[in-house]
Amino acid sequence: MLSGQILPGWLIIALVFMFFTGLICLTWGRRLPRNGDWLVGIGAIGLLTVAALASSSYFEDPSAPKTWIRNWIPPRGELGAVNVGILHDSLGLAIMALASGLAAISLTARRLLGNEVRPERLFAAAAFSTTGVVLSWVSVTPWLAFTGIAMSVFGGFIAMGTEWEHEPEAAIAARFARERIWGLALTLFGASILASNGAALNWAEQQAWAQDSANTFGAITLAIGLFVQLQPFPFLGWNVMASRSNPTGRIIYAQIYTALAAFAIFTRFDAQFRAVGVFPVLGWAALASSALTVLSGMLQTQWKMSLGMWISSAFALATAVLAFSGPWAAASLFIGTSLAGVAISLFGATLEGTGEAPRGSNQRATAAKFGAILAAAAGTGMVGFVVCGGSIRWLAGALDNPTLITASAFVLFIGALLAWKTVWMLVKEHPSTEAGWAAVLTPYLVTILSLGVIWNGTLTGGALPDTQDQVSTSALSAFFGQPAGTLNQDTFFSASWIHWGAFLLAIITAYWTTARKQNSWAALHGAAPKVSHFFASGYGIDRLTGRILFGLSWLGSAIQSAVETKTWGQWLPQGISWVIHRIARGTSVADTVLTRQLDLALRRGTEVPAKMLQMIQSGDVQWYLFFAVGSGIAILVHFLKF
Amino acid sequence: MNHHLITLMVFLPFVGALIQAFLPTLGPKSDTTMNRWIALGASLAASLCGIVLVASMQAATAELQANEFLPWVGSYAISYDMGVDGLNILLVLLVAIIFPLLIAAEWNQKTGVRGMHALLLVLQSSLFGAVCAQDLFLLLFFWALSALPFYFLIGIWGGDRRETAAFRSIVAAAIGNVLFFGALVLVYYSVDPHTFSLRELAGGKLAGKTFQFLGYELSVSAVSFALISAGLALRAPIWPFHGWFTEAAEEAPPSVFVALSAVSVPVATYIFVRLSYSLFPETVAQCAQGIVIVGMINLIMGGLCAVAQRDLRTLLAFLCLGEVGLVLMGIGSLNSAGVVGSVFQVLVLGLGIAGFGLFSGLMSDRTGNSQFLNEKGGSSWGGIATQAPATALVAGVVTASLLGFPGLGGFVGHALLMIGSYTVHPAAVILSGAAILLATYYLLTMYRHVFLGKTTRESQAFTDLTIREKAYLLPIVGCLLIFGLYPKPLIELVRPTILTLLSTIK
Repeated sequence: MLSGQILPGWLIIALVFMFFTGLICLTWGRRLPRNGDWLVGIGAIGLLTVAALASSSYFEDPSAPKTWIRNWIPPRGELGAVNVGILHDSLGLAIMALASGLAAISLTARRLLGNEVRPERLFAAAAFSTTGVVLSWVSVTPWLAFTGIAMSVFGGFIAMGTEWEHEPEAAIAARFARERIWGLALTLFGASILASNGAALNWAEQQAWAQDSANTFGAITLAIGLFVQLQPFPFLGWNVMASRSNPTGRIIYAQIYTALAAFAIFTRFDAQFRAVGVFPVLGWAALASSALTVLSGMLQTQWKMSLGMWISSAFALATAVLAFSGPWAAASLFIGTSLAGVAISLFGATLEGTGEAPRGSNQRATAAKFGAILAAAAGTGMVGFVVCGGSIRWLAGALDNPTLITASAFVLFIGALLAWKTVWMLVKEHPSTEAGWAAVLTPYLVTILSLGVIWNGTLTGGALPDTQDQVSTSALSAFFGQPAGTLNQDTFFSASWIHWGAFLLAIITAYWTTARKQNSWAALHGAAPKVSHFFASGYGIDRLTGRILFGLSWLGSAIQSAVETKTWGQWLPQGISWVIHRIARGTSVADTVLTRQLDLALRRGTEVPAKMLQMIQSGDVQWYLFFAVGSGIAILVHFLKF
Repeated sequence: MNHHLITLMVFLPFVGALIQAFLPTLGPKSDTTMNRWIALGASLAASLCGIVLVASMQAATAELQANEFLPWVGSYAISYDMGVDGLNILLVLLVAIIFPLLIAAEWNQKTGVRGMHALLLVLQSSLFGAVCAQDLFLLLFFWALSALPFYFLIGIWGGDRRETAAFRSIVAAAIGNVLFFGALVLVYYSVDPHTFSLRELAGGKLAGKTFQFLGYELSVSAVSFALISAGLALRAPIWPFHGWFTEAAEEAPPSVFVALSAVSVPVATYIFVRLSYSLFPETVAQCAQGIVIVGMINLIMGGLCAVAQRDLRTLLAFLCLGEVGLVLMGIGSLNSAGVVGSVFQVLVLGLGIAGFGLFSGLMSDRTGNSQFLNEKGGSSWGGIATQAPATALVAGVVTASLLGFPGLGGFVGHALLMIGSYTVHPAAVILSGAAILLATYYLLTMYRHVFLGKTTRESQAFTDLTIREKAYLLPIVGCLLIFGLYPKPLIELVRPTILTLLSTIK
């Protein structure tokens, strides 16, 4: 039996193994085309095993130490100490199992799909992203979780780069990396501000943070950085760019896994964010962001982009739910929509298949289409799935606030509409598949994972009040306690009506606008291309950012030119040269004049006595006469003095 | 611990340089293999001494260790006084790591390989000496000496405009050294008995000392601090006195520019911290905000100019300029986390810049230039990740570390700098955050244009790293990973000295 004390050791071994499998796939993957998935699969199963064994030890011995904290940078007790540690709790272990399980499932499905151009990059992405998500959820401080996010970003970048060789794909991958690293930098920046102010960056200690301006600013920056990783409006970024990369890479690793890693910090810091006032303000922003993301998603022309938008909007919605209703309902939504997103992308990959797909339908395509529709139903809150319970409990909690309930119902409706529209697009565009039965059926496992019975222990997924259909312990209640707010029959049924109303209306509207012969959204796109493009491209944020960056580049160039080329390269050397030349010329002129004058003075000074001596010598002047005249002048001068 | 390790470390490369200079070519006339091995051996031996010195350092003490003392010019109290403590030990490590790699990088130099290696060895000696010197005169001696090899290395092995670049670099260094010397004379004559010993001058000995100049009474501490700062600003480089630096970036051979930006610049910042914190504590306390402002100007100007670059080398130069600003922010924080962060950042920045510089060198070797963007703003190369995955991986790790990616050395430095500085200079930290976002943009733009996208004709022939190139690039990657994942031992070496120095200031 794996004891609680040795869990970190095994966990670290499993994580290091997983990381190195990614590295091996990335560097030598082309030489091992058929072994990469096995390597990563073994790593995933290793992590799954550690999670399972640790869970059993956790339940057997609840008194076992729950955290292992180590100092990383300055001394542990000092202000701003950067500590890392592992938290051994049921939530972390559950997400660890989920992430590694999903990686294993998606690998299996991908292998059966066949002709990926660079499969080794997808295997590497699976390894890095899984390591990142696990690190993020098992860490006890955000510092290690940041490393996890960084690793999942790296995984996403690799996943986006299966076709780096093509310019548009390279541009998308680079933008993905840039935007994610911007988010990460903001997160680190916020955490550093909090650390410098002495706020406890350890979620095992749930004390409130001091409410001062520095902590609020740090927390806001941290939250924005995390929100960037979820990629809703205004951080849509690469999400609005069309790509031909494999949906498995684009949706699962680049989008869902990175968001899953970031959501760990949101969930763990729930109480702290509330203490400094980030929640519920961020909730309103997230709700608005979710709505704007959905509107942008409606006008996407590719199902992959549309799906990406739906997932981003669902993550923003989960953040809003976290802010308003707490982690129970938020986790329901986040986990449910993530799993639905994974399932739809896998079904989509199956339907897209490879090569020239024959026209006409076949049974496997029908099964894949049914699977995609089932996944959409699960993701939008059908009976039996975890989203249903989360959504109803969230709406029930918001009933007291008319503005909130109206906004929530609207966002729920348009979100569901986008999900259904996406799925109708997918099934309509892909009548057949070349994938085998195994590939078609594997994603069903993912949909099964989102059943309510697994997460909240109810057969209906929480569609009934009280616990009438409770068949097992609610994992969500074990993670977070009971959902916030009291639920009486009236509030429950009111919330249920809103949920089911939004759900059914969305299905009908989506079918009416997308599934019929004419796609109304495509028609709208064609009728008003400019307006449509404005919405679909993320409301011009991208263009604005591009202009700002261009402006900065121009400014940098101008500064460099002014300082280096002009000042140091021209004006200063020319100026110094001019001054030196002027001084030199002046000195030279002065030297000439001085020499001439000296010469003249010398000549004049010596000429008169020399002439006199010459005259004396030649006899022209008698020497005694000279002395007589001289003596006379001397006597005269003497007497004149008196 | 003291087995004359410092002396060995300082003079072994010098002996190697003498051998290069005076011994005839061993073997056939055109075959300089033996000479290359001698140069590498001398550099590695010195580096080994440095690494042993680091490994044998006692943590949890601020005392000077491995001290070596020998009177040199007795009548002027000049002595050969060398030692290491928490402030300079990471610089010893940096010089020890980088120089053998530079010699390995210039292994295949076709013109005057002996001369180049000899000058690199002299440079290694002088920088080791400048880092370990505990006597002001000795420090200036080694520091001034380090300018000469750069002049010759740029002037002989540089690009088309090498003469101008070499001339500008030596002029900047000479002016800097003259200012430094002025401060040295002032300090020497202001204490009685006159001394150059840093230990004897430390602890506020210059506080309250004044001198008369043109009828004005000036503070020795303030004037000396200003002279030393100005002298080092010319060699650090500090905006707007950086023109020679960017020109050197364009013209110097890649390994020489690595020595300049990844070692000489960190050593200049070290000298600034050493002298200002120990000799002029009260002036530093008064000027802390000014130091941070200078740092911020560097950071912003470096960042803005870097965005406009199309050449790997000038990009590196402006990156270095900006990062020096970040280090100055930590120095000006006067806070243990901030100053420890800046000392640690100097090490990882040096490694990161060395990795980037060597990578730009191998790009130049293979393609004949270092322009990653053409005149129209399109990729000059592109698609190299497919041709050379190991090169892409190395460049990726180095870039990520420079950006402060968690798990790599840069993260530890950046995090400590921000944690330490925010309480004292919040606006500066916010600006530095913006500068990091900007750095993310330009570095990833570079990465995308070099490694991703369509393979161009130039990059089609691009081969991946050879064994020799792996041998000098992978140690840098390894160090960035190790220092990022487990920085604790190094930080524990640094902290006691910083805490002692800060207690003097406060």
